[in-house]
Amino acid sequence: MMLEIKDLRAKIGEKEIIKGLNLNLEKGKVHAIMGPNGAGKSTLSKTIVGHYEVEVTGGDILFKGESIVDMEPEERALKGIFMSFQNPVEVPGVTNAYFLRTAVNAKREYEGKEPLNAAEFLRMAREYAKLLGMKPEMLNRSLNVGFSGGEKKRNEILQMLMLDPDLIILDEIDSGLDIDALKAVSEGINKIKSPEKTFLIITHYSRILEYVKPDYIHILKDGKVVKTGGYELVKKLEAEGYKAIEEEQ
Amino acid sequence: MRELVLSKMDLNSILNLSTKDKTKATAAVALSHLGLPSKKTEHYRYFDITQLLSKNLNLYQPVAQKADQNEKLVIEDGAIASFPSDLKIDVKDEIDIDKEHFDQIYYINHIITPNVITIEIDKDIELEVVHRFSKDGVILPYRLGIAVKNGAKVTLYEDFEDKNIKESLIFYGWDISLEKDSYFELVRVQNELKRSYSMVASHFVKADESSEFSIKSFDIGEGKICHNLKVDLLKDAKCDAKHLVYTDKEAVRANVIKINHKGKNAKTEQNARHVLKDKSRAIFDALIKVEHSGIGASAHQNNKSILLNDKAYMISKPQLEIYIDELEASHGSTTGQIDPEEVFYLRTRGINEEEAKKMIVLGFMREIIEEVKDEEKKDEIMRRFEEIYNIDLIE
Repeated sequence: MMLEIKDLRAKIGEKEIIKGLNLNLEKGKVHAIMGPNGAGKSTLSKTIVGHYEVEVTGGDILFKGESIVDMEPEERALKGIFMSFQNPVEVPGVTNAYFLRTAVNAKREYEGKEPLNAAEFLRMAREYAKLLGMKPEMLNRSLNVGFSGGEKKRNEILQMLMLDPDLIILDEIDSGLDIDALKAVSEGINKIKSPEKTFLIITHYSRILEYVKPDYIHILKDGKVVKTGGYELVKKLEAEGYKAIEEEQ
Repeated sequence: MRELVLSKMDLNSILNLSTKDKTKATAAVALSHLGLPSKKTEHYRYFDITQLLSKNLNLYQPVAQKADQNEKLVIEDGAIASFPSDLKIDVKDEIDIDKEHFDQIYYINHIITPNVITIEIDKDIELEVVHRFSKDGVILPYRLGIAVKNGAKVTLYEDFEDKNIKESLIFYGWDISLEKDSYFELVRVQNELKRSYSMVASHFVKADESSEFSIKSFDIGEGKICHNLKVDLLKDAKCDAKHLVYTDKEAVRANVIKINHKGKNAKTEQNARHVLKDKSRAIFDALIKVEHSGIGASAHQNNKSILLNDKAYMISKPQLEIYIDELEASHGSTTGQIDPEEVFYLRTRGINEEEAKKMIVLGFMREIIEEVKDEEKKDEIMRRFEEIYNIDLIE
């Protein structure tokens, strides 16, 4: 099992949002989480990566069998957890290339590997940027500063490819993307798919799931997983909405 | 050397230090209207000028010495120590000065400075100026004047060195006259790490028709240093002002800047960044004034500050004073901690918290450093900020 979430409870401020959530993410599988607004989808992803606003009040999260709830965010990242942000922040004055190289070499150091030199890094970064339809000069721009919504999402996927994580959480990666950007992002995701990787795709829409086929669909409501099924659940949701799922409960 | 305690002197006794020449007489008249600086003087409200002026210090008057020829202009304790052979440099008793400067020290400095080092430039050049200080326990007054002739383009790199002097107070400043269509860029780096001297520097720039004045100032480290700058923009003149300040320990660093749009279609673009550590204090008091005659003005100013400690203190006063109805103008100021969301983002990519914060702060500073066109100078300035920030961020 890549990730086991056991009876997880978490709050932001005084508000409990995750209320006894159980979820297992299998190695090599693509899991999608869907749910109405306010169900706790984004809080769940923030909890897994260790956001400073989230306080875990109960339960546990095991990554490859090891509890991560007390780990710093960077430790979780170095162990192989990656989340693409719904709204990636802008960091003025820090070039995309410098940031990426620092991140890649931090991971390589953690894994006991030699750091990438500038030439090796650039060759790799340019190759992935091309795959994603990104102009090479975007590597020299300040991190996410002045990027369009689509460029920011492509840049998230570029980071994912460069860091080669094991658990990949994509938080609304498809929101605000036009069809070309969606295809490019999906291509990036499919490039890294392997029996060693696990995906957790958080989305409101079925669009991305047509390009990255999920093995499991989990419906989240009021801080809990209320239904798990296959791709057919997406079709049911599209036809009948969340109300139909609620009525089945 | 005679002992001089400025705080114990009244206006008349300071005026009596003045000789009869035109510059000092003009300064004396203006100072008599302004009065002496005090705790109530608006632009010194947070700088405590009275504490500086109350020190028992000896008045050191720069002594002309035999100057060497060198690729740099070196001013040692207020006198020319070396200069480039092709530089038109002189020492004069009289120069034209501003009659409406807001700063009293501008006039006091002119009154107690024996003469002014003047430079005349009529061609495109780059010039490096180094100020060296070696005297303990003195008030050292000196001034420089520069006249940039029609159409000339000048970049001046200004730097400061000291021999770990103690308790000296330095008054210096530039009177800069830009003729029509000229361009003058001043890149000033003041890297004071030992708190060995205090300084009040008062400058005046007159930018004539279609000329451009550009200042990029980099204040680093400790010390009690105030730069008072007044710029008059005539028709179609431009001012591009960028300021980066990094203070630590018990530093007090002030930039007081007043830019007057006197002619039509003048433009000002002013951006400042401050990073404050420990118990340091920084003052950014910037006014752009658009006078009745300044129609068609474009005036933008902005300051962003990061406080690295609870005890660091930022005084940010961006101001617009506008006397016309139609213009393009904006101003803004933000002061806060490092954005935790930025730190978190970098940490989720495996970068530890300390490194993430350093990266963000240096990136914040880099935005201003990138404005320096010369790559070597840019790298040198970046290195100085990195040194004090104790991180190697060379790509």
